Amino acid sequence: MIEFRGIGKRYGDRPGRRRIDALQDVSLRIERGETVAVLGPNGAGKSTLLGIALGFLHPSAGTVSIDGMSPRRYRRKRGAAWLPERFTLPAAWPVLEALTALARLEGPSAALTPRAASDTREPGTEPRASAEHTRGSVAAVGQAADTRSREADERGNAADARDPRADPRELAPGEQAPGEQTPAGRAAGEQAAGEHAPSERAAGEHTGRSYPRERWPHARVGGADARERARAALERFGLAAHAGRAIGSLSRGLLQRVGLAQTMLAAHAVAVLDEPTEGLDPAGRLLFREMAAELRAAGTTLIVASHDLPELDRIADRAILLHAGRVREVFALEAPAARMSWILRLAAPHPSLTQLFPDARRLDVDTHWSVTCDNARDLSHRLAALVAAGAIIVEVISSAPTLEERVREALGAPQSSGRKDA
Amino acid sequence: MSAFAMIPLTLRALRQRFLLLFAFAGAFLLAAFSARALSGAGDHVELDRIFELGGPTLGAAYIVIGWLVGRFPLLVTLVLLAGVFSHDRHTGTARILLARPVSPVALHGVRFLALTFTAFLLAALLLPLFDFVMLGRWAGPATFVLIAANVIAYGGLIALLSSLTRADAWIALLLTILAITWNALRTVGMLDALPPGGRQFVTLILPPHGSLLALEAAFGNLEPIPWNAFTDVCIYGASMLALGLFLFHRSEH
Repeated sequence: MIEFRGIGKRYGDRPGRRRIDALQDVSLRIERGETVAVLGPNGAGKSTLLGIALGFLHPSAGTVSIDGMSPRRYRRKRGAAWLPERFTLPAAWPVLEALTALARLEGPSAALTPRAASDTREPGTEPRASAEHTRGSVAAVGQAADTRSREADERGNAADARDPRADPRELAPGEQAPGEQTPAGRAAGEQAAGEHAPSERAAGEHTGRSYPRERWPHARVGGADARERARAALERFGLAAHAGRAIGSLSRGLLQRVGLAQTMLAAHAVAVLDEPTEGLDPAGRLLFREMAAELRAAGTTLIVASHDLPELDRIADRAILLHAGRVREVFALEAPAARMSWILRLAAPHPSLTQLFPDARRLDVDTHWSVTCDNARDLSHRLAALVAAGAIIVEVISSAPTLEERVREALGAPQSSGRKDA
Repeated sequence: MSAFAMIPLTLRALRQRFLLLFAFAGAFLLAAFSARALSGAGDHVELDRIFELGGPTLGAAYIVIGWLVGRFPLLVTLVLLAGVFSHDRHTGTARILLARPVSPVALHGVRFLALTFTAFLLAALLLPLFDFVMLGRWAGPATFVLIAANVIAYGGLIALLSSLTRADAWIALLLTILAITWNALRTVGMLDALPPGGRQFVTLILPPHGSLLALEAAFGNLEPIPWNAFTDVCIYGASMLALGLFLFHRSEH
């Protein structure tokens, strides 16, 4: 658990310098295994908060603790995954050598696998969205395990490949996921992810990738082991062909992939990522999504700061909106599988719709309906029955507001005219 | 210790500085060989002969070169250790390294030792070679003691400054010039008017130029090594390093 109590951070607190209050009175509690997004405009204090979270920066006021320890002590004892904004390493370092050396630094505590082994959470339950600042209802996040459904699983297979928890290697060439996926597929993907709950499968296993976390523990990290680990990380992020190149010769996107790869050299209980998708191409974003899903499955506490709101909407349990150094809003993000309001678009009007969805509300035309269900599992059952009755479903979208819309509303910015699918 | 894993990469990142130092050393050796060739036969360079051939300009040039090569341990230390702590902090590499479960003191202490040892090796290769070409003989193990003293004193100073500022090597150079001046003034008694406490404090803070001069004199005159002077230098360097590591550990990254 990471706890911020009354954190303030002031820069330029010396005579003759302009004072900037980067953070003021920030109090937060981040539960173990929770994925928290930190967002806000430029200069809102996101990077400062992340720097303080791991003890790289000293707060001017307040205290931070990770599992009851000061961040510095925690880092020293257990280490953490850290991706800075605009990641870089010395230009002359060859990629593989750099990652090998970093893997060696992980040392024996690489064995401190987050919670895959020591998870005290009940299987199928998710971290609580705690919150001195949480406004409104606390969402039941990530109820994938509860809403598993074979039918939906089958139905969602096509879209599953686009799900954050699916393997991007299965994407057909040219197929792009972000923003295109339908909530039905997303919900089914959530359900599929539920099959891979941390209590049931080892971290990394669900992707089918050779991510030998279970092979690392308990032994001191020798050169060969570290090199193997570095190679695995490079391969995982599509960097095998660039292993011999110098850091300085890499493009921004490749460098960012190296940054992500170095966070996965060991299993840490805490991961703090600043702008992880910056400069990444679509394939890189899919790899990041897979990584985030894996960290989540392993029970890692993940803090991500980003301007990429759709991405954060996909991966986070909670989003903290910072504005001018203060917590402006905390959003509990509803997992797609738990969403209750949906919009259906049929190819043609069908009488069974109102029988299967008694509270269905007709929108502008006979083929557009707003429906409510208990959850995605319930939705899938009813959709299956509707299809069996001969209806052709053209589109299913969530009618819940996106994170972007909620942030715009919180900041008082005008809403965009066209709403994208969830 | 896993901190040793970073040594090859640390040295690799300094590739350009090594090239610069080798070029510098090459220029010194070229000068030494040319002086040997100019001064004709014999097992050492005759400065009188150089003066006869090229007048005071050439003679002065070789004296300056000789003086500069004596500062090579200082130069190599400044060049190699510049930014030893501050560079990583400035580029963000420090955070990437220190996110790992490793002691910052061990990590940066090992880096400091690796760089000072490399600086010692480079100077220990050049200086005896230069002596051999110019003087026709090896000056003995005092050479290594003199080199070690320079590397320890200025390495420690740069470590302390690097925990505070990015301009570490430049400030170290400035302090070195100040120390030379201060020591000269103190030796001739021009600082006697100052309060003794203040005078001693400044002498303590500045690089131990008096002790380094004592070592240099012993080296030049082929006298026994003044170990008390060497001990003073070691205490100064170790104190600066310890303070630097402490401040670096405490500071933001």
